[in-house]
Amino acid sequence: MSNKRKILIILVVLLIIDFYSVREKEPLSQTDFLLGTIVKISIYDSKVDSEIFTKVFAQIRDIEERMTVKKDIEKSEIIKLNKNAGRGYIELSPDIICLLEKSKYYSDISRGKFDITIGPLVKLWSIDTQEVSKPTEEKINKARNLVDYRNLLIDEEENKAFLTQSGMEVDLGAIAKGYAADKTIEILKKAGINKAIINIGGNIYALGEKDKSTPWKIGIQDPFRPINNYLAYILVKDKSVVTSGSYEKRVEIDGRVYHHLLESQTGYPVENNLAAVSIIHPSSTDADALSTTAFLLGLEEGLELIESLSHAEAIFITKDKKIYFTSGAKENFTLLNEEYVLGDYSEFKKR
Amino acid sequence: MNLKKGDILIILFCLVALVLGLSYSKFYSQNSEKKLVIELKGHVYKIIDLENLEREENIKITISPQEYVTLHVDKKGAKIIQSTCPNQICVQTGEITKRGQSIICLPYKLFVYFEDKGIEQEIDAVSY
Repeated sequence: MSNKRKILIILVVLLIIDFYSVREKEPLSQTDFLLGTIVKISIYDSKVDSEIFTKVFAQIRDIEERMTVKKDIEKSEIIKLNKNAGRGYIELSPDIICLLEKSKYYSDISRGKFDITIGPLVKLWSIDTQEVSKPTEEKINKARNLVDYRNLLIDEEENKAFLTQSGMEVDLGAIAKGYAADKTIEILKKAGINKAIINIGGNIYALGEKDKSTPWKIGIQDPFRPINNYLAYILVKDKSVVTSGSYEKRVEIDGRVYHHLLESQTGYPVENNLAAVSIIHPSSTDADALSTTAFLLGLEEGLELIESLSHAEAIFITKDKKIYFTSGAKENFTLLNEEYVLGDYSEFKKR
Repeated sequence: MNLKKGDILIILFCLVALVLGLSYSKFYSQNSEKKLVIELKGHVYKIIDLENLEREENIKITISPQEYVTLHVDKKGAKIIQSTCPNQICVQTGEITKRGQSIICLPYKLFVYFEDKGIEQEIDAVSY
């Protein structure tokens, strides 16, 4: 081959790379409002049938309608379960039975800090609907006494569940978004899609990797700045990243700010030194439940719990701007904001 | 190597295309930084090129006969200055001026953000 040809071939190759470098960065995205939040699906594979978005959003809508406690939708199996509290077993879909089982498991390992029957307290505080009045002490006590996951009985073989006390209420708010993300990933994989980001109100699932041997970069929200300002990023592949923070879903009542992470034992939003917890896990359902669980447990117990679970990693951010990790999270983490310092977990373990 | 006039022309053409392609992506990224997208209920409602905005503007987005949102836009950015929504989170969000930032009004299913197509992002998503 002559030198001329070689030069030409090189130039043409460069040109192709050049144009692709512009195009490949553009995913196909669609947003919708579901599960009480904003849902964004971004697909990075080159060949995508836009029908897939319709399918995905229909599935998430179905999950919302079957699991909501907010709108009085006849389809909601959770409303049916709650209405039947104190009366008897009712039949539910197998996937809801699975979610209830999983929720009970997290309630168990956190000794009730996470409690799937938190419903009466959530309703009372109505932090989602922004009804601005502080519940009376009497009402809080009454609601608090109804919360006990051990009184949710599940018959796995018959796909039935039963809340034993009248007035009890299950609330899947801390797990349904994660479940929706996992189901979305299932649909995408079946359609042959390998590269995508699912964002359900800040609950992220990063499917595959961005490019060959280039992982996804997921930002971690700075708990003291507006949404989408991140203080760090982590590199992930086929993982979900879910964050729980006391900066989300807040309500101001008489000059005091209350957040949405309620503690069943006190009936109040939990107060500890944490500002946010992010969980990295291959299952978004688990990541979702664990982020709430770890936040409610607080720094020390939370770290201990996540460290004991085989697939989970966590990043804890305290109110005094210190960052703590489980052992596997640190290597993929890059801090961008110098106001924060890295705390030492190993020192902390000795105490 | 024996280069003819035609060969040189082809090489020159390729080089120019290469440079143009690279600068296009750069130019495009700078340019689109100020393209504001307003989405209502999952559909694009309006796209505004802030860079070429003649003067600041208040855009009234009607949700229903009684409900509306007023979005203020100028060359710098955008903010919701008034909303009839129950929680006012969109108003409290304040002004957005950079790509990656967004204003969300959940009760009205309104999503306002800067277009980020063609830009090499530092990150792919934010977990919050």
